[in-house]
Amino acid sequence: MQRARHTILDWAGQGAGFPEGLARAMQASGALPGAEAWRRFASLFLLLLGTLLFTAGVLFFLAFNWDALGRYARFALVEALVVAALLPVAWFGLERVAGRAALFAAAVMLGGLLALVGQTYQTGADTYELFASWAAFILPWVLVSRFVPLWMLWLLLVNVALALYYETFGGMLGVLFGPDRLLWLLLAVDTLALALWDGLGWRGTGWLRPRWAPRVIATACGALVTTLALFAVLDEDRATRLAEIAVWLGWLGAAYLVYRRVIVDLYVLAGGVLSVIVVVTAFLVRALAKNGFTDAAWLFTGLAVIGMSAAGSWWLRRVAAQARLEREQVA
Amino acid sequence: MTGQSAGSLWAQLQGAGLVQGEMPPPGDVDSPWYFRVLQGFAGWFAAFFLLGFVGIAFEIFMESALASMTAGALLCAAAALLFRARADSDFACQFAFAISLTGQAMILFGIGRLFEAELRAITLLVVAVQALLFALIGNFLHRVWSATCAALAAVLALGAFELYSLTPGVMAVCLALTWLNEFRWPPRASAARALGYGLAIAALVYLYTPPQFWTWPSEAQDPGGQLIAPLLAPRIGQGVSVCLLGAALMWTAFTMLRRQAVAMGSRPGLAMLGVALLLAVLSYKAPGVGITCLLLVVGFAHGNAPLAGLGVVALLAYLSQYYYLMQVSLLEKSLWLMGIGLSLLLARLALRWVWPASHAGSGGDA
Repeated sequence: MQRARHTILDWAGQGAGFPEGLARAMQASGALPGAEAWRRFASLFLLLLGTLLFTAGVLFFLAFNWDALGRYARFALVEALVVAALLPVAWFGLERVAGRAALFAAAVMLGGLLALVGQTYQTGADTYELFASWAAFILPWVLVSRFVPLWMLWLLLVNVALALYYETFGGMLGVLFGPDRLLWLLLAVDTLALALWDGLGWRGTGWLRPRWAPRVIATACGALVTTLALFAVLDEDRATRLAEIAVWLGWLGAAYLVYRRVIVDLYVLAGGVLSVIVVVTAFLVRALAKNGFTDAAWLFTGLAVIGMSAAGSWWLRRVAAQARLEREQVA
Repeated sequence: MTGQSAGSLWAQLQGAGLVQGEMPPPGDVDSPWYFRVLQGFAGWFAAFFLLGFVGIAFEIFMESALASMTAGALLCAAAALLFRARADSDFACQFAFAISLTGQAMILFGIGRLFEAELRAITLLVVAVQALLFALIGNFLHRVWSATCAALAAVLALGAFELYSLTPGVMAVCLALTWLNEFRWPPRASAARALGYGLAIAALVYLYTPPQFWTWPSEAQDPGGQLIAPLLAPRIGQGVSVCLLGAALMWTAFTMLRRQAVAMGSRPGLAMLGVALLLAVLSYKAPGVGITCLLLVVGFAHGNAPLAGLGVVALLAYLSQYYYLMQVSLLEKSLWLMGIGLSLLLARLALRWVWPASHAGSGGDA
C-alpha cells in the first residue's frame, strides 16, 4: 500500500498524466483504503480513542483530589472503574481488541488506585515504590494480554521506577551509584527488552511483529548509549571512557548486523547514523577546542557534519534500494 | 518496487485508463520519512556551526541589522541556486540546506534588531520570508521546514494580534484545506505534502506548548504602554474557532464519502457524518482532540502512515499539556475527557448497529 503510494506520487511529481485524477489512480492501485477498511478503522478509532480519553479523564479526576468526595467514596469510585473496565475483558475475551483495550484501561486505572492509596494514607513510601508495585501488580495481565501497548506501558513503568529509585538513593550512595550507572542500567534493561522482542518476533510470535514498539525501544537504547559515548568523549578523565566507547561501538555493530542482515529495519540504521554524527561531532569539537575554537574550527566542524550526513544518507538509500530488491526477489 | 513491478502497476493503471503516456523513470522512492528527519537534524547541527563561523569571521554582519539581513538573503539565494543546480547530490543538498538555515537565522537576527519588541511586524515578516523561501526552493525537506516555521510564526502573529482564541480553528481549516487537496494537482502534490507536513509538525508543537508562550503580554507589543484592545473577545473567538474546527471535520467526512462514492443518506454515510459532528461538538473544551483526530483520519484516508503516526503523537502530547492548562479546572477537564471518551465508546456501539460488517460493501469501493 505504502509502496504503491510512493511510486504513484513519484510519477505525479515527474509530470505523468492522470486523466481521471490522481486520487482515482491511487484508489485503483489499492494505495487508499476501501469501504471495509474504513469500517474497521472507524470501529478501532472510536474504541481506542474513547478508551484513551476516558482513562485520561479518570486520572485527571483522581489528581484533582475532590474534597466533596469522602475517602471511601473515592476508593469505591476507582475500584468500581477498575472492575467496570474488567467487565468487557470477561465479555469480549482477550482475542478481541475491545477486550485488550479494556484491560489496558484497567491497568492504567490500577495505577490510579495505588496513587490514591499513597495520597490518602500518606504511607511514606517513595515514589519509585508506586511505579515498581504498579508494574508488579499488572504483570500477570501484561503476560496474558499479548497486547503491544500494554507491554510498552509496563516497560515504561519499569524505566520510570528505576530512574526514581536512582533519584532517591543516588544522592545517598552517589559514589556507588552515579548518574552514568543509571544510564548503564537502563541501557541493559532496554537492550534486553529489545533483544527479546525482536528475537521472539523473528522466531514467529505474530503479535510482536508490528515495528513501532521495537523502534521506540531502539530509540531509547540509542539515546542512552549515545549519551554514554558523549560522556566518554567530552570527559577525558573518566575511568570508564574506554568501556563506554567500546559499548557504543559494540552496540552500533550489533545493531548493524541485526537490522541489516537479519531483520531489515532502516529506522534503526538511520538512528545509528545520527548517533555517529553526534559522537564524531562532539569528538571534533573537543579536539579542536584544545587550541581555542577558532573560526576555521567552526567552519570545519560544520562542513564535517554536512559531509557525514551526506555520506550517511547515500549509504542509507543504497541499503534501502538493496533491501527492496531482496524483498522483491523473495516475493 | 522494481522496474518490473512498477511497470506492472503502470500497465494495470494504463489498462484502466487512469494514466497516460510513457512510464516516468524511477525516482527517489527509497527515502522514508526518518531519512529526512536525519537530514533535518544534521542540517540544524551544521547550520549551528556555520552560523558560529560567520559570527566570528564576519563580525560586521552581527553588528548591523541591514548587513545581517543582506548577508542572510544572499546565503538563502545561494542555497536556492545550489538546490536547483545539484538536486541529485546528497552533499550539495545537505550543504544548501545548512547554508539556507544559516541565512534564515541571520535574516531573523536582522529583523529582530530592526523591529525590536514589535512582535506583530516580526511575526508577519517571518511568515512572508518563509512563504517566499517555500515558493523559491523546491527541495522537499526545505519546504517542510519553511512551512513549519511560517505556521508557527503565524500562530505567534495571531497571539500578537489578540486573536489567539481562533488558532485551533484556523489550524484545522489550514490542515484540511492542504491535505484534502493533496491529489488535486498531481505535479504540485509534493508541494502540498510538504506544506501539509509543515502544518502538522507546527500543530504538534502548538499543542504541546503552553498557551502563555503564544500570547505575549500587550505591553510587549506596544512599548508605549497603551493597551491594545482585543480585535475579538476571547469567548467569541473560541466560538468561531470551534465552528471552523467543526467545518473542517465535516468537510473531511464529506470529502471521504464522496471519494468512496458513498451516499450521504446511506447508513455508512450517516455514521461517518455523525462521528465527525460528535467530534466537532466534543472538541469545544478540548480542541486539540479535534485537530489530532483530523490528522489521524486524513493520514488513514490517504494511506499515509507517518501522518497518522504524527496524529497519535500529537494527541498524546496534547493530553500531557492539557493537564497543566490553567484556563480550565482539573475537575472540568477530567469530566470533559471522560465525557468525550464515553461518547466515543457509545458511538462505537451505535456504529456496529448502523454500519455492521455485512454492510461493508454497500457503500461501494469505487
